[in-house]
Amino acid sequence: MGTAGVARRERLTVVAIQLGLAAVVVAIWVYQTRVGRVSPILLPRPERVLQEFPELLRDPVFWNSLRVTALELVGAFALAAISGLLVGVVVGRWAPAARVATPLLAWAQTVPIILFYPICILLFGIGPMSKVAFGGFYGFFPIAANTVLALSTVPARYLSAAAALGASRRQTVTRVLIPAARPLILSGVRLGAALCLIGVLAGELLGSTDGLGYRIASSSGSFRTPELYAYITVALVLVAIFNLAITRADDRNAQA
Amino acid sequence: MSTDQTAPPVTGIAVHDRGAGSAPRRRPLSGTRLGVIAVLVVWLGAWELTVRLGLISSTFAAAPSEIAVAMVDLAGNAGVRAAFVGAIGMFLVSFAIAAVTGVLAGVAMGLSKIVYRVFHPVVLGLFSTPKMIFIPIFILVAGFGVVSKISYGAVSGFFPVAVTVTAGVRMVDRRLLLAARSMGASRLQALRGVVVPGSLPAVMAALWYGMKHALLGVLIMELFASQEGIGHYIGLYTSTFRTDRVFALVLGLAIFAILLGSLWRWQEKRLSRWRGSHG
Amino acid sequence: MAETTSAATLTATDVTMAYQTQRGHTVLALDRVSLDVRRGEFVSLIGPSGCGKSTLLYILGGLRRQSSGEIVLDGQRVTGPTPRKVGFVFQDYTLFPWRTIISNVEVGLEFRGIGKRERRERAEHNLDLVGLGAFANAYPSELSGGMQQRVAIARALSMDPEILLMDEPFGALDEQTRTVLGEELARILEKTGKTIVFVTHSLSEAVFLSDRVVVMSARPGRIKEILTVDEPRPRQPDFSTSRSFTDLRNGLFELLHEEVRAATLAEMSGAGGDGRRG
Repeated sequence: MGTAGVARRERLTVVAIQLGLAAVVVAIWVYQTRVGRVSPILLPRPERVLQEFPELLRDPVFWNSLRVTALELVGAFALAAISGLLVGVVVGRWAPAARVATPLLAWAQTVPIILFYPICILLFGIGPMSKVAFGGFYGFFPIAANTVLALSTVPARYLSAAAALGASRRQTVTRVLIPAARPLILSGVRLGAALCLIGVLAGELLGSTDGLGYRIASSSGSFRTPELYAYITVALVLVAIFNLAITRADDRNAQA
Repeated sequence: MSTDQTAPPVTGIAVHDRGAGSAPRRRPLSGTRLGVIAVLVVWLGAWELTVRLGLISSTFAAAPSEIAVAMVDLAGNAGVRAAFVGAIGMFLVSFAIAAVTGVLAGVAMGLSKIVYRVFHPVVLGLFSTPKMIFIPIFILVAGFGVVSKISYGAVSGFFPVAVTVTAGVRMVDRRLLLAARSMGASRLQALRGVVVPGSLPAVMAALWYGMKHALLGVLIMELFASQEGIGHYIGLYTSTFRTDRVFALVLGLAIFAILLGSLWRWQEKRLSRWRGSHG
Repeated sequence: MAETTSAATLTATDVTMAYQTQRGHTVLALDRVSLDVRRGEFVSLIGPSGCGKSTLLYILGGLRRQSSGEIVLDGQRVTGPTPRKVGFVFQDYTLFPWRTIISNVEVGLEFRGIGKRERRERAEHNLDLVGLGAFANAYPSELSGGMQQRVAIARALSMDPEILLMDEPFGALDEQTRTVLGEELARILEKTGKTIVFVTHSLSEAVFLSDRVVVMSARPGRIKEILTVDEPRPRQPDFSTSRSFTDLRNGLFELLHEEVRAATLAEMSGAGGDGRRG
């Protein structure tokens, strides 16, 4: 019982320090903008940013860019998942291919994929297609790599056990191989989904005509700073929700 | 975002004679290497043919041979060379900043429970958000020049280093610490003798992530703030449809990244013989 | 071994250990345990899983603090590790994987601040003693479990402690290896004349090696009985096939059987709680 008390006191201390630090940050922000030491173009007053949110919610432009980003994300994820799983299954179930593909995938992961965005624009134009392609490309690698790893490292003793128990080829795949490989494959898919979103946003920021990333870039380009901060906040919240959602989805599957 | 989930194959089984142990591992590797080369050759050939036969318009894609020519061309261009060297220099500076600050922060969070509980959730949260949505803020504050590129690269590199070092320090085997204590190690001795070497593999991995992300950060900034540097040239050649040159620049940077990765892996392998069967 | 003074070197008096589980239950791991270990003696602690024998060993060595009671070593209260007098051998070897074998054997002397040359000499001597001199420059991951445990013994011996506390040192090894290592341990101890407290699961190991076998009861850990093994030292391999050995072993089995049964039944009814070892 004594230990429980200590734990509670510790937790309170931690929260107090965190709140204190947050308060200091907000206080500096308020103070600096009040005194006028910082140009409002760099750092608008907090209440100016807050005012921006209701306006944003009433603005059809905002909803439209949200829709564009979401559609691009769906397309990118579908592309990444289908191609990643396909390549992963083919390569992972065929040992020589796995050995050849492993260093190639490792190399691919050393390359900053953002480099290929200009090429995506060349190939697919500045519209949504280049975002879908780039986001899909971004998300492809962890899905393919994890699928290869998962399928090629299923312990041989599981397979011999299945054979000893009289499993057919089909049963071996559906009852042993897939369940054994699933957690790792799913974590790859999860990572891939997160990267698809990053790829789509990066593409929109770097060169596009619509979407959340485009709004962030354009509001900063025209120095509408309060709007910029509002868009950044919205993007942060959406990314957080998205990441939380895919974590949850993964958890439920892991338990089943 | 650790995409590096492809772990190296585990060697397993304790081997007493190291000479005999390493020999049979080489043979399948050379076959694999041949396969890799074959795949690359076939891929390059198919690519070359696709462009040559006009299946893809040369406005949008360049054949490998054209890219090679463009690479030689650009290597002779002083402006491009300066942009290339400048990008690598900015990457090195931002990596150095990220490494030092990230390791310090990681060690602090790894050793002190209270520091961990206060800051780790924040650091972890920022680690998993795509930092590029903050790029416009960097540009508002520091402009389009070197400072904003380096600072964005450093920030990109900091979080993976800090998070990985924290995990490494916290994961040092408790039993080894107990063993050290039973032999009378002082706090400092336990830190130097157990925590530092025990978390070294994690620190090395952390530095690699930091390197990757610092490079990524600098390059994103190059592409975004394209008034000067490599981003400028990529933008210029994209808008003038010098596709071969765009590909050449992109592949040049990609080759740099691959070389960097190979170099890192090579020296890491050299440093960690003791990890024999620990993967 | 000439004069086996009956003066106790290591004494535990009324040692009690209680701790809290995460759900807030209080578990009594050790209940008023008192034990004298005499100079040059080999004492085994044996008992069902979770009886607190490892915990007792850790408390004897000052690696854990007891809830109440007292540990006295050579007339002084133990409040922390005393590496000059007490050496530890852990069940899972705990060699430092990044150090070579020889430098693992040296590490305790390094902590003590002994010069490079002297500690290398002492480490080499002890590594030869356990028969692994040829592996000085290998790394732990290159050695088998039995070899690693011999290195850990050499590491403890190189600190030249009076007392060695060993926590199921052969527990993770196969039967043949542990028999051979047990015989080897008997041989090494004959040369060094250390006082040993030895936690084990194996009845044969306990009888073969010990002067006294301390049988502990299921949780809460109490001392149920102490058996004396009156067999001259050094123990020979044929002791393990002798009549007296078999009788002692059977007696030990009877004593333990009740306890293990009680512990297992308690575990099955869910009253056993958690925490197998200290």
